[in-house]
Amino acid sequence: MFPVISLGPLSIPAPAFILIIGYMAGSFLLDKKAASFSMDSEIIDRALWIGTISALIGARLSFIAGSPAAFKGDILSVLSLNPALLDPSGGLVIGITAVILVITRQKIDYWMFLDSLTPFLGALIPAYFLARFASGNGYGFSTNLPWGIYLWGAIRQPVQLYLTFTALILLTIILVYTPIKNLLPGSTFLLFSAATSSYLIFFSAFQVPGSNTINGIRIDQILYWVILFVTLFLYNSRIKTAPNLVHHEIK
Amino acid sequence: MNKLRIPISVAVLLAGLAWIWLSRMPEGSRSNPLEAAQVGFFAPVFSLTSLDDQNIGLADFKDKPVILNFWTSWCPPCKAEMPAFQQASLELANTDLQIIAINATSQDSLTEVRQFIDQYEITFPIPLDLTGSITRDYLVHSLPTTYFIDKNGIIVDVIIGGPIPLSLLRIQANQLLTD
Repeated sequence: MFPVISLGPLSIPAPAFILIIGYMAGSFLLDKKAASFSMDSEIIDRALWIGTISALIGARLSFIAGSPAAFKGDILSVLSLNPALLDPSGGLVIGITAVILVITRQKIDYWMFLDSLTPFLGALIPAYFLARFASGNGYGFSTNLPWGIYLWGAIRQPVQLYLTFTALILLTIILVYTPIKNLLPGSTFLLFSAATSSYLIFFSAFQVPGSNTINGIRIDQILYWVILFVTLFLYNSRIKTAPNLVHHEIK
Repeated sequence: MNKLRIPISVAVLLAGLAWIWLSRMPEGSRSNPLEAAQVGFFAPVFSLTSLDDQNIGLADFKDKPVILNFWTSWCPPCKAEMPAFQQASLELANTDLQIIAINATSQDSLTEVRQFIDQYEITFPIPLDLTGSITRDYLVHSLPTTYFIDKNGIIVDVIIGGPIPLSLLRIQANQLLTD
């Protein structure tokens, strides 16, 4: 666990720093790979920026909307730089909505857009897991395994590291093998989502649940399974309904 | 491969369901959390003295939610957020919630601490961590750091850095009081 990177008098929150690095690496890979998915990297970059800024503004607005009375007499705090005044789920909804509006306006194919976004997500997701390792969140159960790490008063499963390494392996596969010839648009994204939800279902078993459980069953595992079901269903049904539709030409 | 696509998908989904069932949590496995400076754990206990030699300990606020802040007089965000903490303590005076701001005195000077308390007219408890042991127990790597502790003594949120605005203190206090 390393929550803060100290550079002289400067204290940088390590999780935020790792996430920014992940975002930048993702943007770089997106630019490199966009052409091979027959997409204009500038358009994708613009959509991503608009989505990110909308998500940040939306997260703040959503947070304020949740408790407007708390801002009485303290209206300037709506401009606070403190990230604790953000509602991530509200921000995500508004960010995704903004991206959908941009790509609809630009008449971009949704599936091809999602494919070209996959390298970006592939870099951002391991950064997210590493950020959780840095903050000490998402810790595992106690273990006797020799590779256990000492955290929060016990030797624990290094679940955040299992997740980081698995996500990095998936990123490597994306970078080496995509785009796959003769694959339907959207397949790269759907298979990436299915793989991500599969390893999340597996590794969540070693993690102390962050959310509630129902009769011992983790809600987050159920959510990942639903994502796995939806992605596999969409992948199979798209192939069934459009068997002759071939992936965009590889440049 | 095309013929196997659907059977493989079904097998993956069934394997997922089986794993979710097999890895379900045994009953009572989340009870008795340890003491650690992390969300979901019991807040580390402390007993310190204030400038007027009063003993202040976490145990004094048993069954009460606590907002626990770590600060020093030389840290700019600590200075920026202290009026909000003072205002919140006045607004919450008639509730069970207690605000405590531990001064990391091992990194500060008593004269500066006294001036700081006078300057910001602080009325809530200010224990002094003279040796730095409590600051270490709470893994305070950056100042200010604020812990939100529920009435059972379990940490429910941590905010590293600041300044924390009054609105956020109100929201956090409201959650602590309604939980």
